[in-house]
Amino acid sequence: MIKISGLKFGYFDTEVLKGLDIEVREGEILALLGPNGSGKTTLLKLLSKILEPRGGTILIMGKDIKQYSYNELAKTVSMVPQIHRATQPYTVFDVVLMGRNPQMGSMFPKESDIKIALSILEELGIAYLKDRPYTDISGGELRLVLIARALAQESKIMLFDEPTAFLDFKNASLVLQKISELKEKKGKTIVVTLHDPNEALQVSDRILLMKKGEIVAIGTPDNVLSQENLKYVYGIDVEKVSVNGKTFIYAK
Amino acid sequence: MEKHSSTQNSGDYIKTPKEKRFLSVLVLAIAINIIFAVISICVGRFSISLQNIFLFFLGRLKGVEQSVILDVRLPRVIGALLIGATLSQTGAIYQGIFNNPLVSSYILGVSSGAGFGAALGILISSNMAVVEALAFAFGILAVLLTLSASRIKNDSITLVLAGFVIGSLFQSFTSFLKYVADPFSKLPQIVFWLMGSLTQISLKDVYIFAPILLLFLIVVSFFGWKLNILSFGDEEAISLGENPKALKRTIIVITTLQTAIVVSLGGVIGWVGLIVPHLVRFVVGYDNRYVLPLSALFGGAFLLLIDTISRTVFPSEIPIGILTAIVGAPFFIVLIRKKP
Repeated sequence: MIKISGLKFGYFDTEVLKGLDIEVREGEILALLGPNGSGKTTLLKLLSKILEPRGGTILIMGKDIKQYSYNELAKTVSMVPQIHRATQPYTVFDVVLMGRNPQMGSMFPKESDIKIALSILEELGIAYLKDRPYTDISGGELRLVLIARALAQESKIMLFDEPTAFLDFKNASLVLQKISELKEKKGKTIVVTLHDPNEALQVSDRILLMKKGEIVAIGTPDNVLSQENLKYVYGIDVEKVSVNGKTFIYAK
Repeated sequence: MEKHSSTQNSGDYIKTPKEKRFLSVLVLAIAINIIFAVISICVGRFSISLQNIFLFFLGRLKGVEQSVILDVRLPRVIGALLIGATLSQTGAIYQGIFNNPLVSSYILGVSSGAGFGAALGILISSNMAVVEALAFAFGILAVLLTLSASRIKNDSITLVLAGFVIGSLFQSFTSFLKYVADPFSKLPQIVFWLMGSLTQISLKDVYIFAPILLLFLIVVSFFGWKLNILSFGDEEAISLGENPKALKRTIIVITTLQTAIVVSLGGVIGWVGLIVPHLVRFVVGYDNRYVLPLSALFGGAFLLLIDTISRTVFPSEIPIGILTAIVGAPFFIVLIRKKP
């Protein structure tokens, strides 16, 4: 689905990504885990063409990302940003409808666009918000609206940048559950950056552990989140426990 | 149950409440423009009856009255409508691009550049065409300088700062020209030009510029949706399939041409681009698909009203830029206080 080889990126003299080779498989959830500054968000921005790589290639569905127009890419890859400053009081419905932008040929949404936006709002359980100004809703609701907007793009690949950041426990769990459902029910291929290893364990098929722009480990959650790896990446000792077949990690 | 839905089972298109509201406001705006235009043609030192306006448009009016309408009133009415519409619409566009409610299309230095060009034109020639041409050329030049000055760091804040710097530079050039200008003939002309006035708009100006300005107004009205997408910021615009840099460049090129034309015709008229878009948003909300066309219509009506007042209410004509500010400032304060 996505094949990254020798990917490099940097700002001026600082190297942010130092030659990454990653493959994202169709229909999987790949979690990017690592401390602040490890290059997770940068990687997502390169995958959505917000940033241009310094070296290496990114193939998306077999085609070099450089050969995609912005419009074409937006039909294949959608992004849910971590920080979104809502400045204009558009209605929630309008914001979700703007996710139809890549498919819309004009400024006038077609009937099918409106139907898709409405059904996504229903699906995510936020249809009751549709006429509210989106500047005027809670952080958890805003995150769901942004997920709805990305879903409206109907892309095969979805990128989530720290979808649980700034959310309370309930909303964070809800968002993670929705992400799992997107894979299960809609067959989306998902790349998600996370901060909490437990969230990565809960949601991902594979985990990519990063530190300072390099890959520390990539593979199944159990293999990647070993005590040694986590000690190396975060510099702390952790303990792993299993409860009812589920693994949890906590700092010692 | 589905209040917002625009669809029904048969597939017929039902307008949403927002669209209905937009259409009714649109009809109202067009009606206001027509009414104001008729009133403005009627009133003045030389009154013209409604019947004669009717006869004029049928091509059956002759003599002095025909000449007053054709050579004096009509160019001015059309000028006011188009200049007001352009200033207001470009103001709305810039507020969208820069995500800043306090900017107008003068922010990149076009008005200061045009002011300098006009002052230079007045000094070296007594031909209005030269003045207009120089105002236009220097207006464009100032924006080009702003764009190249901001290229070091390609973001909106740098662009606004560069616009401020280049604008100030041209203002000091203008001050220098005022300082050296003949204080009895040229200086008053420069000062009056800078205050904005629609007196000098001729029928020829209308023939040349009205089609261009009208075309631009229509084209720009269709940028509303993209402007909505841009308001999310560059990164999200990219992930929604737009190329924000190319889009902004296109919009800045078009709006600079628009603003340079209207400033070279009517001088520096402030406030229109600030108050009218805010008023429109107050009525129809923030969707730029509606804000852009309505800003144009209400901007035209607003400037026509002010211009008609400026030439009829006072014993001698007041420069229009003064009146837009006197009306605009308190109006703006009321608007801010009422904002939810």
